[in-house]
Amino acid sequence: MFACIYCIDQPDGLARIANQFSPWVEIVSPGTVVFPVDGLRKLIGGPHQIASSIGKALFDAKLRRPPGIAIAPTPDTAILAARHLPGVTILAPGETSALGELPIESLPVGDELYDTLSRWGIRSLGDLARLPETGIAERLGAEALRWRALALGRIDRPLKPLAEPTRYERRTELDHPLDQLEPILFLLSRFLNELCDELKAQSLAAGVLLVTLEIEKLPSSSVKPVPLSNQPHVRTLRLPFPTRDVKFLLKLLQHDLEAHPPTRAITAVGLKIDCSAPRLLQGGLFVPQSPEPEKLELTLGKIRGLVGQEKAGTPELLDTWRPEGWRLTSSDHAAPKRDRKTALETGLTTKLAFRMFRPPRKVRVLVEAGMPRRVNSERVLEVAGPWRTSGDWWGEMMWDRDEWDVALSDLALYRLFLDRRTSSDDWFLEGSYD
Amino acid sequence: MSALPVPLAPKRDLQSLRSADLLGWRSPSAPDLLPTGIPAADALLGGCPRGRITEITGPPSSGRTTVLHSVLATASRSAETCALVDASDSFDPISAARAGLDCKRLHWVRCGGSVEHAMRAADLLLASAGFGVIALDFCDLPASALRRIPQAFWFRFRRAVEDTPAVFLVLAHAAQARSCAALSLDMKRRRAEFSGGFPVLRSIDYEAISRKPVRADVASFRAIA
Repeated sequence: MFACIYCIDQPDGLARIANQFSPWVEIVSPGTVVFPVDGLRKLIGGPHQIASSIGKALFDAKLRRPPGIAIAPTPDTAILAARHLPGVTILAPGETSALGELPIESLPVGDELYDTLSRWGIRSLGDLARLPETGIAERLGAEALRWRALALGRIDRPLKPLAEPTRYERRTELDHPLDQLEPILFLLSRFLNELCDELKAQSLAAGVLLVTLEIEKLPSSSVKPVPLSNQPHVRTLRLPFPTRDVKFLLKLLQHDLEAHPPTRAITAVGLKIDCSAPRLLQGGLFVPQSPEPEKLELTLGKIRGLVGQEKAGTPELLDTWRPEGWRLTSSDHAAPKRDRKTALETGLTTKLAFRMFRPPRKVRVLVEAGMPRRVNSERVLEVAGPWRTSGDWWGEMMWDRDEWDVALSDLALYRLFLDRRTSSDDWFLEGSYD
Repeated sequence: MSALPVPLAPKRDLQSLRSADLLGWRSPSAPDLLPTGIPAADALLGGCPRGRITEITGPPSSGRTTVLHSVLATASRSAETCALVDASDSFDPISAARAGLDCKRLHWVRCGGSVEHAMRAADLLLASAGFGVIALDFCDLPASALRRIPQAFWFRFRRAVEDTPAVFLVLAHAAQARSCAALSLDMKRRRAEFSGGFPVLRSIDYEAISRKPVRADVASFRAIA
């Protein structure tokens, strides 16, 4: 048996009310929910008691208009009765007399079929139910046959309950505070094993790892005036590709926690995984070999631990004329693909290469007749310029400068620039041509 | 019924086998070459050998970085993954992209002047197989810092890159890998052409001299802005 509640006053709270009676609730449309009530017989009683309990729960919700409640053998019959019959309707198995009085408009039939039924003088569901099954199938097709079965209460289907979003999360309190990484990793390994098994069962993979390490509270006597000292140590790892390889994930966590250790001992460990669809890779016979993504990410993780988190990655050019108009992004592990267009468009012309001085080297420049003649102690052998550039005047990244290319007596070629943002003569060597 | 004739096994002429074959040694086969993307250099050398160390040396503004950008661009155009260990943090992605480098295929490690970090990063990258090009750029570091690198590192690198398809490029002011390098190019700048307008530096003429293997010819090429 299934119960249906139709109530347009409180469409959002209906599922919550229905959940008081069953964990399996299908939201048919806003304001209509249907759920099974078979298991409530021993708990509440027969259909009348169940309907009364549902009515009481709805009354507690203080609705303005009376809701429609129906209990029927099939979900669709319950929905039809709750929507179109006022008050409480209870239909026993095989009993369709109450539905027979409903007008044909209560079925969502198409215009063409409705016109045909109207011409035949079919006004109610009872009229439709009395038509012969074979005749309807021959004249009106499968759709009309389905509506006839519904009018007879014979359509049964499995419920499509609203699934609670699964949370991939684990947390444990520790008996004693831990101040070493190894036992924490041991716990994280257990969590990862469990969570990755769950992900595998759902055909999902980990996209983001969120590790929360709650640190030991400072005793009140020794608390220094540092407001965030007792905040949990939270690390978020955004994986470059979805995976559920436990060893790989554990290694990544190890590298990250080694590079960013918590400040004090740990009292609780939590791990949350944001899941995404697993990665699908199709290799190609003629595509060159590239590093395995897992191995490459581990290598880059080790290198980032060595040189710094922001010092390794893939450069991405920005749409700007600003000097140093690029940013370092996390590496892209997409499957390699030959770019024929690039290969054809880029000719065999050799382009000048430039090396940057980071930061630009401040120099003293002797200027004669508007041209630089000496840079520090080096003579200027050849010079071309100036080339004036400026931009981003509306923001903090504003630049405004005059550029020269110079060949100095140390036999190297440099790009020299005068920073025009300040009144004083600020000359810099931006880099060298090589 | 007569038995089928059993074919006799050919007599092994042990005398004809070389002693190296008996000991299981193999003479190294000629390595595959990755074109540098510079026609003159490719005509002279064929390209950079894979699975070997290639060393590019020369003074500042001698064209070392031009060759590096060109090799990286060639590899990235063939969808190969490249890595650059930039010891002095002087790589300019904008000029490299202008040379044809697909930046998405490059992993750039900025070592901020630390030779130790650069060597360790290169070691890690060499251990992660699958790269087309791994470049170690020491160009702007002082000679005193580079002199402290033990020669054993280069032997280790030579062994690590040996059975991989990677071209291992080392750029420096003076030779570092020495006997461990299979190809050693010495770069020189010949002439620079300036102009009044943009770009202010129009072109530079370079020369690449092959020190190992020694070649009488010189690869001359022009890099334009």
